[in-house]
Amino acid sequence: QDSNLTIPILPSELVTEILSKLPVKPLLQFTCVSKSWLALISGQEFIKAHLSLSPNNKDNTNHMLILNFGRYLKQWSLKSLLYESAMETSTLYYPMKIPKRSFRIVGSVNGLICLADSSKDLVLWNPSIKKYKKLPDFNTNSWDVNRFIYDFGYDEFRDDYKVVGCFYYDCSNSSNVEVEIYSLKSDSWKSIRSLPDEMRFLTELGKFVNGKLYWANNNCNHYFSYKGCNIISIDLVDEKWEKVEQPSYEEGDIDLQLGLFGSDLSVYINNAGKHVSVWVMKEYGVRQSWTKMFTIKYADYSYLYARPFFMPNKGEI
Amino acid sequence: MASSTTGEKKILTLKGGDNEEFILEESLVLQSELLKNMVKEERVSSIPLPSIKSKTLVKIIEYLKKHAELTPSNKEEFKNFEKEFVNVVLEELLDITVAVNYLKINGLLEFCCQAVADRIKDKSVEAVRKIFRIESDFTPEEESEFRKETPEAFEGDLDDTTN
Repeated sequence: QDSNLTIPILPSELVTEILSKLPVKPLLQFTCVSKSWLALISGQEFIKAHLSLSPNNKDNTNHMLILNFGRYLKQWSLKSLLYESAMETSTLYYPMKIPKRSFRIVGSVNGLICLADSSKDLVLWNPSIKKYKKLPDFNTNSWDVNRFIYDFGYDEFRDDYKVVGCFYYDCSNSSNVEVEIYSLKSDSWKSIRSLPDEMRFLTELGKFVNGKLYWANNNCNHYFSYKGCNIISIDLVDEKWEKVEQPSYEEGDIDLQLGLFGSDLSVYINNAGKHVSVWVMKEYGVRQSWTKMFTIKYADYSYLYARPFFMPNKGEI
Repeated sequence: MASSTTGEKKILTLKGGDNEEFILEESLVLQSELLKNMVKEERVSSIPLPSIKSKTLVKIIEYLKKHAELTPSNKEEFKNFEKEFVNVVLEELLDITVAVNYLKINGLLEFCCQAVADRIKDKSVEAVRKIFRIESDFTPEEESEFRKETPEAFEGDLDDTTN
């Protein structure tokens, strides 16, 4: 007697619903159950549904904290960091055989990580399925460039991943910068014209928030004053630059850094080395929507301050 | 003042696949989108559900009653009940999931699908084929190609049972 005969036949929409709740590893394995399962699991629609479900998984099971140790990465499951005494950790090696030098993490969106090895070799990497892609060379002649800034984001409208590269020939002159955008869909770089003046001295780390990449810049002339700070953004859908309205700074504010607060852009402003104010932009481009959430007092008088470390509602730290 | 309306509770009969009858308050079945539409639009007092086994229906009614009693103070107790609810053999869990999908009890459907996913995530491909009654349409060459491409997906002990 075969007990399997009593197992009901599941309607296809129910099978899809069940599979969308599986982690990546069994999903990969189940692609060889049948041709229709392969088509379902590797289909765009399913991938999108799975992607929108997995960050919202309760207990943060699918979230990883990934730190860079120069030549390799270490990952921790967020669940074990937050709730368990024993931490689950594993080492991720650079996806391409040997990194030329130490590499750095440019950014991560939807579980996809962008890495930069030396200055000009970029790799997109999906550690869950252990697949990577080396990006083609950009058009700018890298021999003349003395500063490279990269950032990584996602164009939701076209379902495309993009890398923005800013190539500086000479830091003191804003005209000596080339900007190119790489699109994963077209697998090519495209030069961007009509750059704003504020392109000078972008700080290294941009932030990807709601379809836009943000950078803060520091103007050398006003180094110890908020007056020199600008925030600029590029919309990854229409690839247009914009100068972003900033909060009403206070006397003593000297330096700012961008961050994420939930799913909104925030800035951390160092006030004379005594405290940090945390402002959040609740509505894009609306100056009045900047809200001061709280201030953090320093224990010691210091101009050095720790980079804020915030966890957005979904996504990575 | 309100006693005349609340005192009179509407009663509904559900008929399971083996003709067993279940009498319950109409308010309980409103958690099911399917049954809600039936009682609101057609004003029926008895609903035949020939595709659902009585054993399954008993379980679902048990859930509906527990869910109706859910308050902020007994949340923990309800969570434990949910855990026990899906702690049945896989075959029974699939019966329940199919029935809940048919009845459109959305919250419970999410929970059941997650429970099924948790149960099959460490299963071998062979076991999954048996559970979902699927015949492989790949050639052996195609299958070994998969194993070569993503070896890590086939590492470790895989559960070959269908329970």
